[in-house]
Amino acid sequence: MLPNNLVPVMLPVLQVEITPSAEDSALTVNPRDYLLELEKTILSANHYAGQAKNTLLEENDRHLKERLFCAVKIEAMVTVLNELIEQEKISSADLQMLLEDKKLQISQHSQQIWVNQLTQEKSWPIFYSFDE
Amino acid sequence: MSDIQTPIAQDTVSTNDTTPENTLLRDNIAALVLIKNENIARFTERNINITSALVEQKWHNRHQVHPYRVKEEIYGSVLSEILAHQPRMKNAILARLEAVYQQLRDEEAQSLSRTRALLEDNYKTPYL
Repeated sequence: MLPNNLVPVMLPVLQVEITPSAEDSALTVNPRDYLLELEKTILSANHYAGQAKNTLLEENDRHLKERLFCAVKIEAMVTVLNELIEQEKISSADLQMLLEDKKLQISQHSQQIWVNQLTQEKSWPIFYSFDE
Repeated sequence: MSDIQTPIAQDTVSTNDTTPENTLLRDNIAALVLIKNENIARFTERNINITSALVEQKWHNRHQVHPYRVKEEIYGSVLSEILAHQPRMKNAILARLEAVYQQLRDEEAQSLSRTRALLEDNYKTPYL
């Protein structure tokens, strides 16, 4: 229901931290697998296993996943940005200025976001990347 | 986490665990299965015109997701601008972002609260 990772390329050292150790995952159900199990229970498309597909139900599932991933990304970014303020790595005033700046910049191009929703021509996100 | 070892049967909600999180998860699964069944009933009616219903649904969905997309692009641009100005902290910040994401993902797997709020149309994204 949610992709495994948010940051596309993670350094191998950093990934060790977030992956449960081999013994742990042998003993308990990995919460990530559990989300997959839940997906089978609550999403509609599986209802049609082996039968003709229903595009309406598929669209419904796809739309939920899209919104959920966006929502969790926004929550994660808000958490990290607030932590940066708490740790005084950026001042609250600077962040607000930067935010206003980006709001203005992106609202001027929000049509591009809408068009890409129609065409899905470019892969998301359009205006930022954590890669480089 | 022993409370997540119970296998979940299709369309049934069965667990004996009564810890608060588990009650929450159980309630949310029950609500979500109801929503799912309503959708299945609605979308599989014999007299429904799938093509026009799909066009309408897609249009509605695009409108609904648009503010999420815009907000994500804004906050993502803010964070990536900060990363560009703090090259030494970049990896640490990205690692933290990933860790927070994993935490939220696990939390969602144990509650399904966001999923339910989204489907019941009362989810609110946080503000900076």
